[in-house]
Amino acid sequence: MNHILKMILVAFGLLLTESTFAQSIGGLTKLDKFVQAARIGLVDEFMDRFNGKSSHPEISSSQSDSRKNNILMTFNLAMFSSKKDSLFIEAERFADIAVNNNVRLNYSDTTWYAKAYCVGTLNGKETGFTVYLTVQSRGKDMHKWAITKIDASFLNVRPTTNKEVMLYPDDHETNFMSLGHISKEQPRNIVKFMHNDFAYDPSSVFAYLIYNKMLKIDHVEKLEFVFTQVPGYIFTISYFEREKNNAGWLISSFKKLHDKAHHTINAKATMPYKQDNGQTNKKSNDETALASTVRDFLQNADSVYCQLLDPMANDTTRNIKRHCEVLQTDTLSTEAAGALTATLLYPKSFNHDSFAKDCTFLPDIVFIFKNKDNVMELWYSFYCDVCKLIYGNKQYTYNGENVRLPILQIAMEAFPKDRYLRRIAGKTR
Amino acid sequence: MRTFIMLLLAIFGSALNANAQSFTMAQEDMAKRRAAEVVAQMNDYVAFMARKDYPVNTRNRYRTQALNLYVGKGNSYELNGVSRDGVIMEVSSATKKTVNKLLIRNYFTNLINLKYTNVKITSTEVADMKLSNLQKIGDNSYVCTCQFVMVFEGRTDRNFVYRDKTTKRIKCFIEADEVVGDDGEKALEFIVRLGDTQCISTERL
Repeated sequence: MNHILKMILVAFGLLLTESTFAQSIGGLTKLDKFVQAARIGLVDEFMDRFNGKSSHPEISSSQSDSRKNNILMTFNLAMFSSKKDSLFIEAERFADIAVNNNVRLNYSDTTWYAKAYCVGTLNGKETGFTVYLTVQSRGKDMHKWAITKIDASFLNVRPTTNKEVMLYPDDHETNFMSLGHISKEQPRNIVKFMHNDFAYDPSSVFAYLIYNKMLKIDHVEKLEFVFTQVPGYIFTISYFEREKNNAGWLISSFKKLHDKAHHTINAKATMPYKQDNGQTNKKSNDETALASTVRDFLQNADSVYCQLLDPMANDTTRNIKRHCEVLQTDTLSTEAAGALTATLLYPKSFNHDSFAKDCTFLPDIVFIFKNKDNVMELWYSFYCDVCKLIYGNKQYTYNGENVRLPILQIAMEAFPKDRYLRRIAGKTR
Repeated sequence: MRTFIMLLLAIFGSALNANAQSFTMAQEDMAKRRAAEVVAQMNDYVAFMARKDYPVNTRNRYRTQALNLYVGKGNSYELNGVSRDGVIMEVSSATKKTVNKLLIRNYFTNLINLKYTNVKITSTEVADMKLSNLQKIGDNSYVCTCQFVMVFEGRTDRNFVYRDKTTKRIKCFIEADEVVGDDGEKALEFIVRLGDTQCISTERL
């Protein structure tokens, strides 16, 4: 174990100096060769390292804990401040579980998927979108990557009005003349004219746009792979380009999950899932937009306090709302409360009507708005960028991407010393 | 003239041996080794093409030999029933921080015509190359990806030296053919053709 800690110390910041390896061999120095050998250049190589099939050049396979050390070296060690970092301790627990359960990652697994952050052009304008892909069997030991889901703001068909708009019951008597009015006057409210059973599927729209050459995929700007094979965890790998012995495809984030969440995520990763936007659309309008009752409450709130949460606390701790443990509580200043309210009320804050995220909601913070004896809660997960508003017995779920930054800033102001917030704030910057 | 590649036929197994190959570990290692050797051979040709101390016609001969290593020999080819103009090489520059996509035949032409007075290109040796696992795409057809590093050094007549290091990944199409040797023994022969090259990173040295 001392050996791996020594290596990790090196990777934490001590770059191998050029002078150490200055001897040049055919244009590639010994340093180049060492870094290339240490770098996890291919996803297959990541799997081999994780599985113990191959080793980091500084880890001897004869070591008793070589597999665990190899797994630890597949983490982006820059995410740990020291070996005493609670995140590093969690990573060690993760590695122990992977070793003890003899977890193996295989290309043909259905429990991993790719997230390709693409750049393309839609009707001549540059746009970004995320393509989810999974490995699909073709039979006879053959496989292929297949698109399972698309995430894009331009695929949003959220209505712009909360008013009840419809085709009138006697429109059949006038040859449905009013149909023409929909596209002319209310194209953005088209889903309001659809039957309650209408299920909007953004992936189909994506296919249509590509089919008609309206959307062109230019390149993949960023690529991630998400794995769910380790019991109780979900982790993501990204490519880190740097001249260190800890580079290439590395675990960029990992999250401990409770059993139910893991089961859900596994199910989602296993099947080429369809987005549940249809279901969202089937719900009443109040459930997809920032409801007027919510807006009224926000505007009239007397005070706002917030609680920093550990979403994965065990059951022996003081829990609120299922598994969350309150780590810290603070009352927001008048300015911060005003800023938060303004952010939430800003019309473009929640402009994603139909969104589906392959992510278990693990709240990091809750803002509690009070008005006399009434309470409304805003739960936010920085991991998923999803927020939930709970008011009375109603719960509203929104894509929180647009409000992530202000919420993070307000949270940082309330809990400036919290390391988790500082870390994700650093990432955001 | 357009060259039609048999990859599609291989995928559907209509042109090749219908008996699916299932490799032993040793055979898979052999196939990967062969792929790495072809990539190294291509890298050698690249280095030769860029050398200013070789006559242009010699360098053009290396260009032709290098193109022969690619699907479609660097010209248009057909994959999955779709015609493509040719294999693509991503080219980056540490100073411009951009990635351009060039047809491999044009890339090689540019390489020969570089404005430097002296060019030296070195690449990862076969043993140090990284190869992904073979993925089967047809009865006897496979693909894998090879990652290597290329160090470029260009010197101008004013003795200005530009040096960069690029990490690249190249797709390798492999066909396994069963051949019978003079001794009557059956053996597998691997035919490797190179595909598109992705540029992962470029760092100025």
